[in-house]
Amino acid sequence: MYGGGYIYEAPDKNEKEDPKKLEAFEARIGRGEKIEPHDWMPREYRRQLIRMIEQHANSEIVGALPEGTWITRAPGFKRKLAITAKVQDEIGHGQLLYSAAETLGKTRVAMINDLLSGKRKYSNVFNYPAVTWADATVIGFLVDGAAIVNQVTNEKGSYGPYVRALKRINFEESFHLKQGHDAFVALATGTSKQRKMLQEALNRWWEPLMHFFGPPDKISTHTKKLMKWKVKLATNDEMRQHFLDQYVPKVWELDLTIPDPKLKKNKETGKWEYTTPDWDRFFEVINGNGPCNKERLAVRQWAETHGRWVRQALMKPEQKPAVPLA
Amino acid sequence: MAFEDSLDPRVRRLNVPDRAGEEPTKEMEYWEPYEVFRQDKRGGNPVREGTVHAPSPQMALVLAKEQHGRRMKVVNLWVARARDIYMLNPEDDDMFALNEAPEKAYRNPQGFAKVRKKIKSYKTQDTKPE
Repeated sequence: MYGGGYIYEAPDKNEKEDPKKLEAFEARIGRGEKIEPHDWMPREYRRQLIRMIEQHANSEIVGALPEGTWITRAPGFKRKLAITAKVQDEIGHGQLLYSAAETLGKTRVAMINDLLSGKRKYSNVFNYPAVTWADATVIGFLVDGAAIVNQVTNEKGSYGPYVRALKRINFEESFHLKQGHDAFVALATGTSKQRKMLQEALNRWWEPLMHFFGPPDKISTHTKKLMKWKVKLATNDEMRQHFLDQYVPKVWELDLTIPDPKLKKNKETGKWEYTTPDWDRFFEVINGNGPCNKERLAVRQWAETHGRWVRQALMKPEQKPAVPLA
Repeated sequence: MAFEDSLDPRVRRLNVPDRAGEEPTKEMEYWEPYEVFRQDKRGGNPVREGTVHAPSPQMALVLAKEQHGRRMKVVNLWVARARDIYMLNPEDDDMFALNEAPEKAYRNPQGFAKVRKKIKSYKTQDTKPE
């Protein structure tokens, strides 16, 4: 998992770049070549990428929390092993992504501190609770599914270290999606009590899922530039459509109800139509007022503070500042 | 703020304190990066797989096994401190531009492709030199 619905910075209009270097940079991207950490790059490209990769990394780390909730009570040994392995993968993804962002010049410590202080965000979807085991299966199937739509899109991006991290992440996600679908189908094809539990979880998660890719894009020059630089590869709405295309049929084939009476595919336009998600609610949750924001950050802070003595005890005096190479 | 009503029994047991007054982590309080190389079979080349942050090569190997060796094929992992690895300036990549150009055909087998033709022509000529 877990990137999606990134927030980009407003570009600095006064910032001037060397036109020749910029031209060469854009020509390289135009040829489909990747940008590597030691290449020249526009300041805005660097800034937006740091912000995006950092948010993605934060989402992986925080995203492990709602699912981690169910490790102790997963139904059966196989499910417990699978969800433990998955949560470990998510933390590993966070590590891969922090390293990729570090190549752009922001230190790991600064990123962790900005997550804990609330200066930088993580995917909004993780501010909701996993109330029952069925919620964990909806996360494992549909939230992962949404994240994969986003990550497979971003894998075609221009920045080498991010693309490499995403390739590895997407490779591991294929297992996550399978185990999520398996657990989802197990409930859907189970007893009426299990089906009811799953339907209730689906009802709880549908709005966060519709929020997942972020508000509809207004095509601005800003977005155009990010798309030209292959930082952003599809609009939020394009990815949302793609997600609905792939996953709504998989929910409907199990005779479950998606809690949106307007949801249908328009045969003429080929596009999904749906009730406009409550974007005020989305921003309210992003700004700290969701059901779990405080708990998520408090638990992260606890881990950071209580892990500190281990880091310090093993630290060698000869350590020097350094960044990952690639 | 102890989150007694958290859905996560582990969080309830932790008795997580209020975050007010927590010190942010200081720069250089995190370990430094090591690059990890994975060899996927005996006889294969170890290839750079990714990074771990560690306080020593030994810990880097432990973390590399955790981070880069838990699913894919592995027979061995190597680690090296990132700051001990040197690279060329990427802007100088033009020095390799002619590597596959015709000017360097003399370095490649394709540069010596007409031998058979010469032999054939030698064999079929009527008068051979003394």
